[in-house]
Amino acid sequence: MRLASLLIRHFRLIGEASLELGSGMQLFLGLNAQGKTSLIEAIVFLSTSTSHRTHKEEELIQWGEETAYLRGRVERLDGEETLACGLEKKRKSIKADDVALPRVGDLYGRLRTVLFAPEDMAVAAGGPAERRRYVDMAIAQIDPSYIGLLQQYRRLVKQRNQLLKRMQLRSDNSAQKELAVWDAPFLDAAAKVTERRGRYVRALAPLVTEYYGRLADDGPCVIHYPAAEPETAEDIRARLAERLERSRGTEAERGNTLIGPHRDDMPCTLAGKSLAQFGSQGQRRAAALSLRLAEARAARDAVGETPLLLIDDVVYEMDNTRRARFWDSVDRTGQLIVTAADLGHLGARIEPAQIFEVNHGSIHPAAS
Amino acid sequence: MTQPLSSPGSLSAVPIIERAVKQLSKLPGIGPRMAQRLTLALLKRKKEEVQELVDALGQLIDGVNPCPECGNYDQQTPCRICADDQRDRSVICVVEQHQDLIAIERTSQYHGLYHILGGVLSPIDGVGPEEIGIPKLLRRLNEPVREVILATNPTIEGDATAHYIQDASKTLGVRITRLARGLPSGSDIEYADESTLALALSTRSELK
Repeated sequence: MRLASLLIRHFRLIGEASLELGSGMQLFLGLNAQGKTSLIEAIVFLSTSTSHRTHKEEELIQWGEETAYLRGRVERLDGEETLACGLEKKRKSIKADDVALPRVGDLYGRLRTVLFAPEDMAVAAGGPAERRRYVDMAIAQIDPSYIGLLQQYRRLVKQRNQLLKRMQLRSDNSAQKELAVWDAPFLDAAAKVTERRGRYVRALAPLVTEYYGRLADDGPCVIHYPAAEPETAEDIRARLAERLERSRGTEAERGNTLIGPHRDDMPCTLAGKSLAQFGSQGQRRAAALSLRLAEARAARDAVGETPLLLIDDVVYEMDNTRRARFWDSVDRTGQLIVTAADLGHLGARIEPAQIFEVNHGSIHPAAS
Repeated sequence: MTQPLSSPGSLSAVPIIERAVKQLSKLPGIGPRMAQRLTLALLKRKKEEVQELVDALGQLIDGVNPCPECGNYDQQTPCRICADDQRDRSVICVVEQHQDLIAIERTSQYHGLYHILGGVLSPIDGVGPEEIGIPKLLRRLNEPVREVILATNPTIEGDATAHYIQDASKTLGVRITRLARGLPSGSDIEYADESTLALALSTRSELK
């Protein structure tokens, strides 16, 4: 998969940039706050119509402008396609080959990306919500129908929670009856989401361990998803149903759905100990990189095509050994978009296919 | 670009016009701009034509009422469907909205009675069983009814409503059915969304 060209207008720090991108490593050099991460964020947005840095999409529009616009030509094994995202204060439009895509989920899978960013430390060692988002986004890119399932599940949780809140005020027989009709579809959707996540984490886990082993010697690093230990959706549903029964009392007290995939964790451990609790800075960083390397391989295994790798400023904090091990682990057969402040930060033996300079929000090929 | 609707000196700053715009914009599918357009169009028309519209609307308030039985709108009570001796009184088709009744009537395939809920269960919108008149529906089922066809929309809320009615009427010994769901006629399988296709597969039927 390759992003062959990219047009950016009024997105974050970038006023306007029009780029022709080749295969292999595309390196973007620039000092801080010049627009390197804006470029990465733009590609993430074209890929998922979300930002990894903010929920407030109006922040993505360049200061003082009304609209932001992104357009990219994507080359995949199954053909070429031009993706476009227009962003206004309260509205966004997404198009593929000039045809509007009605649902956000329709964009997924058209430009598959794996992002390595400094924020990833939180995925390996932050709260459960970060890991749920990581797993959900990764699945959505290789299996776009997952988004519909996830949206359906979230709506059921919302309906159920509202009912539970109402029941805090007035709980009678009729309210119980009403709750019962939401339980069944809630459990169905919860089991499906858990099962899909479980399947993904089972494919991912050995890869995480493998990549961590390549980066560092103090493993094994393991990710697992306890909620999906029963493997089939039926078994998962049965267990969820039991847990739901047990949580009835607390649930009614708090007015909230307390079990289900919206509360689950996929904890990472290092040599048997919780990474979130006991991991050092270096261990967390290595675990974060392993998760992303594993995500890229899992995506390639699932769809038969190497995703676009976006590597934003993650190498310069590593020592030379770690850096060399990292580059040895990265699949460099596809296209890589790499940012750095200085060519020297990449380490020895790394030869980019093309170098761009990022300066005051504009991007140009470096004079060779 | 949106313009302020009632900037000083603009047409809609005229109080009578503003009132009409405001009333029209309360209707579904009509935004403030469309309401303004409609109001201006009315002003351009001949007085008699507009009077005709006013009369029609006036008659709507006085002359049409929801049927006390099924909720269908009609000039007569009970409505002409409930009053029709030719219809099968032992089958009741439960729909969300009046529009759904019209759609089913258009098929000419159904000859039973109806029940219009006027909504679906949705706690986030504050809608429970009472708000959509489910107790009233259950009272109707005490009469000799053979079958209830649940024709609520195939959405999360429509399904939950159907299940609620099913659960609540279990003890009444009535046959409960739900509209089949699957591929639309004349469509392409290639373009069907995954969940519809998956459902069509799992509920496939023997060719007769």
